[in-house]
Amino acid sequence: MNILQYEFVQNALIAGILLSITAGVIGSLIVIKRDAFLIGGISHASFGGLGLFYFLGLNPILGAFTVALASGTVIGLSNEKQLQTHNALIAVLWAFGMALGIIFITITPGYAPNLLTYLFGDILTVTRGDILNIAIYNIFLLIFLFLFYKPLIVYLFDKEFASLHGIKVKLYRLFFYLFISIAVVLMIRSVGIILVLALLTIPPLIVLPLSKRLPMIVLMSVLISLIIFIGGFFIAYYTNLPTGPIIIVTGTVLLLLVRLACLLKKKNS
Amino acid sequence: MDYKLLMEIKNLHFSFDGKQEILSDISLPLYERDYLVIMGPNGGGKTTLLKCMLGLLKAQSGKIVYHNIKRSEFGYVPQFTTFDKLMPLRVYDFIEMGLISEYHPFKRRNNDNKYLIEKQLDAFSLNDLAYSSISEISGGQLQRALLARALIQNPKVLFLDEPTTFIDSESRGNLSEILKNLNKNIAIVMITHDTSAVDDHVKNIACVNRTLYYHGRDEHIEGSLEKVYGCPIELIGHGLPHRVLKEHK
Repeated sequence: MNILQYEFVQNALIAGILLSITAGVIGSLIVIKRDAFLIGGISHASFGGLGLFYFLGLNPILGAFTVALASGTVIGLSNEKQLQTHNALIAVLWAFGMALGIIFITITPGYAPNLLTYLFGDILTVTRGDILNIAIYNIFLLIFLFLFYKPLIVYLFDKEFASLHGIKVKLYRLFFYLFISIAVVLMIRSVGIILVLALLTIPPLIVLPLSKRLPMIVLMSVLISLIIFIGGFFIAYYTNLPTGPIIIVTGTVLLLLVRLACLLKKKNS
Repeated sequence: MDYKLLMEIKNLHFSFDGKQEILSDISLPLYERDYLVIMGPNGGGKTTLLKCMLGLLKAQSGKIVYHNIKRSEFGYVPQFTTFDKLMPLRVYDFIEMGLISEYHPFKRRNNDNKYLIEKQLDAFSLNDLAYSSISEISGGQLQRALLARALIQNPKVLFLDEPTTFIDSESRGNLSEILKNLNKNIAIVMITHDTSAVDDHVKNIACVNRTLYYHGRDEHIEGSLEKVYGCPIELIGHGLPHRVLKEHK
């Protein structure tokens, strides 16, 4: 029987395609801004919110959403220097969020869910509602980029120059981190906290040595994200192994192969 | 000086934390077609002063009066360390950034921009490097790209922050020549701790180390450089028939 006949498989694949767009775009921006650690902080801190809402009998994803949005706003409103000096604080937030999440989930009476589901997510449980959310987010993200790509890049590249030329640096910063935190939550729902980081960082790292142009890097990241996702999905399905970890391993292997090929090419030329 | 005033700094005080003053009671004029060099030791507040002049930092007290000039008429060549050289960006895209204040989300002017960028590539001999990444070009080439970016909108004043730090001596010579020619039409403000960057074309010199000493071109400046640096310093006048060298006592 063809596996594409199952609705949950269809949903998983549609979500995968849409999330590849999200991950490719947001991931490229995060990697060139060297913010991966910060995003790790946001996603793990949001696990605390997830646990709290679970304990209170509310929708756990809403808890993660609240914390991620709050941290995105705080980061968006603080300045770069402050963040650099408090770099270790992000690691604390990272650990604290995870700890709180696990404690809340443990003390919640009744059936305790498998923690691995939250860490690695489960793409097979994605609903049509989730897909709609991701689609709406992507539309906003793409419209924003279409209109404000150039000033955004100037802001990311050289804040002082941007500010001198009338670009509202603070506003761009806030929008940048809000877009990122919402993306993180959308991705946590379907692929889990660990996979969020993998999907955001692996594709841009693969394509970075292959192009000198940011628009190309974004486009190729989307494509690579798609390949890793769909490839990993089918490998997982036929080997009967968990989808999330298999997607990450697929991506990392691809990353190693591409970097190795680049090294060999450099040596030969 | 028979030129008109472009901007005036009046009794400016600046500190980052409200306690220790980085700049104290600074007053400084800038004239049309001025060539002002702001010198001083590292940590003396040169860059802070420049950022105040550009409006990037706000002083605690004192004011900056702009005469017949708007912020959009400033050209700025920052230090290499202020931006991310590893970002995937071609020289072409980099120069295009200079046009960002013209950007409008609903009005694209790609063809006009292309013309202006190509003109700059020509003017700064960057044609062959247009599609190279900014991470793979030399310091001197990057400096020219920075100039091309800063000058693409025909500014009235060009501000340069330590422009000689990361370039070789040949590029320094080129830079000096470029600045001399630019100065026929626009004012130049250059920050440097490198006394050899002061050449014959410089019109005014300000020495800053928390406080500021201002000198018109004809004034003898050795004494005040000594005050600022805290020791006798060497000053070489390029193109002059003599040079001044003093021994440390």
